[in-house]
Amino acid sequence: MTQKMEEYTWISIISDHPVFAGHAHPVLRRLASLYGVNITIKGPSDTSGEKYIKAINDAVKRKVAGIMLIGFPVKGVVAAVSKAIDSNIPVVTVDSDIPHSRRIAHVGTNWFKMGSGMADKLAELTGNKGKVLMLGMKGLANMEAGFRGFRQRMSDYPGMDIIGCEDDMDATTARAEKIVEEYLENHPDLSGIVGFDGNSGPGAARVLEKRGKHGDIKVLCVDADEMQAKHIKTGAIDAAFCQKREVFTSVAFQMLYSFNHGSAITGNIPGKVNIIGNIDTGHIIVTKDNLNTVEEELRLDEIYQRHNVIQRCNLLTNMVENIDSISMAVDSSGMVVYANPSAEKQLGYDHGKLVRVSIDKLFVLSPGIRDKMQDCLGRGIPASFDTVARKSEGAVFPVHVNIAEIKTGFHGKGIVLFAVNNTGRKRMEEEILRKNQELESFVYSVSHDLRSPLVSLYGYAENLYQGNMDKLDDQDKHYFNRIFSNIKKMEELIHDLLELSRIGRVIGERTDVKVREILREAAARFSEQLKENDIDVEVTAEGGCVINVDKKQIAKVMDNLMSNAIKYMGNGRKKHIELSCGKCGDNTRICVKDTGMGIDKKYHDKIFEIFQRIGGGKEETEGTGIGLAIVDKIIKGHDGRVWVDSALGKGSEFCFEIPRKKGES
Amino acid sequence: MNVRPINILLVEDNEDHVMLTVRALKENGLANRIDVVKNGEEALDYIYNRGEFLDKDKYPLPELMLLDIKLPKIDGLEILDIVKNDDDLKSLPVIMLTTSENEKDIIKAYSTGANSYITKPVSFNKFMEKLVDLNFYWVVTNTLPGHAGG
Repeated sequence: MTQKMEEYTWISIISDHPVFAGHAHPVLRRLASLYGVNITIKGPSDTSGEKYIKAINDAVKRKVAGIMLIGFPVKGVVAAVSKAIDSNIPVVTVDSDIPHSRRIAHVGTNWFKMGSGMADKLAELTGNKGKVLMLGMKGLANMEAGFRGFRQRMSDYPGMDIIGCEDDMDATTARAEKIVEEYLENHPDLSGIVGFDGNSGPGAARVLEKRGKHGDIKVLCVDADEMQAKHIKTGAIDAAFCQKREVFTSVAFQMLYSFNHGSAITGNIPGKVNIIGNIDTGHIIVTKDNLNTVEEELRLDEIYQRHNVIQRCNLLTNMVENIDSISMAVDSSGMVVYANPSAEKQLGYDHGKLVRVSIDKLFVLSPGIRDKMQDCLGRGIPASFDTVARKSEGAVFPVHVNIAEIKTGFHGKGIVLFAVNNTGRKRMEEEILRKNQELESFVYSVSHDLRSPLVSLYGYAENLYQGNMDKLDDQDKHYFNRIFSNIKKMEELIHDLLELSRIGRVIGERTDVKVREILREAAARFSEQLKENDIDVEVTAEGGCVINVDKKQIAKVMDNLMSNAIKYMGNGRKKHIELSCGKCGDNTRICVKDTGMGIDKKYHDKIFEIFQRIGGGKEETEGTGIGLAIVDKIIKGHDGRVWVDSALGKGSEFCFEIPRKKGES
Repeated sequence: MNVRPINILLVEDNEDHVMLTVRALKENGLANRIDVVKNGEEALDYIYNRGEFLDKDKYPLPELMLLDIKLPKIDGLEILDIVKNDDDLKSLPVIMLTTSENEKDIIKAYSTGANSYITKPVSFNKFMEKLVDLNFYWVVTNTLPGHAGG
């Protein structure tokens, strides 16, 4: 049975130009016999754009298997590419790109990078001084990128000036010679010439040689064929920036072939997912020193790069193949094109049997998840979600899934997917939830059961006290008061303990609150106590100070700090509390400053721990030792911090900081 | 304060609290009559005149129910739910009593229709002050259901 040989076609303007005939065409012939396909070379031998477009249209009519296109900015080329793509013929641009077309990929030299490399080289050669002439073909995507790269990097060299970018439009040496002659006349301080097309470098070199100026004015060019090599030897061309034409020609063909036939790694499924994207094949710099060994260097460079790729591939392959989570690649239609061994094992498929299975069969995909996958495919937005995976025999298990686009320079090729069995975590979450509920009901019981006897105790003591008031002497009354105050303290302790246990578990809703309000309200709540103790209070806060907090919890913080300030005020001459607020970097800082007894520095950290009390020893001022622990917990719950600045006898200043919401000034 | 003694049903399982509450209610002249039941089941029997409370004349509907939240068998919130969903009973004022401040309970109690909610302070004197305030409120601003129109 004979099958018609597939035809791939290579199309360019001036298709028999030496750079093509010498580099691209021999590679194409070798590839044709290697892959058993027919590769045709098409396009005009002149610069006719019409003939160039016709060559593309003819290839579409012949229904070729793929087009390698040297991109020229010719009228109608974008439409011609679209027509090919719409006829399901893949197009890869080679060497020069057609950036706005629908070509599936571009492969060639990154001219922007090469242009900036030329700027560095020229600055080095001229000692960073003088004027530079640029020559090249305007409008060509690759050359324009080269100009941009060159200009951008040149701006880093203040000693140098670009005096012109002359359009060597028909790219002949004669035209280049004419321009260079003119510039030499008008610019005696010309120190360098950069030729971006194949002919302008040799053209410039010929003028300089004629005038005996070669070596004085530095010349850079692209390509290092016979024409350039001649002048490199004489020293008229100082360095040639060489593209790897053989490499990008062969990569372009291999892309098209993979597009049609897939590859072993992706289950031999044809399509875009095989296209690894836009590829920079790099460049190499040729000078007098390496002119004779450049072939060898190119080969070494290839070997080195291939080695790097293989190493990287090997590492990534190991990561993906050996990891104990499901890893897959899915094409844009949702079909699996690659699955790692763990995916096969966990989903219960024999080796190789996951390929071509639809992702719908493997995961439960809700509309929300489908949207995420579409966004990932269409706009390159990575995502993660929880769902359920289905085994081949029907059993299900929960998974956490991460997806990312298969990145290739343009969207819509496919998705890589990692999924981790979630069963353990789900179980743990349920366990935590259960434990939390247990704790909640425990706290509830404790709070009830511990308080109940206190209520009785206090009640009986009160009855005894009131019923026998006339019979009690001062000593007896003192004992009763001790009983009352101890019960009250016990009650306070239970209350604070429960509060502490509740905070952190129950996170209230955060709202924007004006700090000035918080401070004023706190002062108001204590107005009676402040009056009783003869303490004056001052609130200094800017009106614009706003914090995003659980208002109730922050009020609790203020209460605890205020009551401490009052409790430990002592008997100084001036009794004063200042409540203030200010911005401090990305945080809002709130401070409670008093003129009280102060705290020795060695206790400054300790006081925020539970049951730490370092009060002055007077029992009336002793608290439960939980208040500041609560403060600490609440502030930490708001991603903030709290500290004290104080010294014995010098008063205390308790401050806390809470980060402002992003975007708030 | 000028208060009118009323008939109160106290639903409370803690004997100490019963003793102290009853004494305080009497001392303050708040209660005309206080009946005490120890759990939720008995409370329902009482207001529905079932079981040992069958005699309607002996056990008339109280004018106020003081209902502890934490009770054996049927808890206070369930009883409240039953009372407030019964057309014949829902106008009976119910004051919930508790020893713990549980926000969930408070919200639940009010949303079920509790007329008031008191967290027992350790001091019974304070407790009575609260009750006196409440009684004053009921007598002055509300006509208690038992006296409606009469």
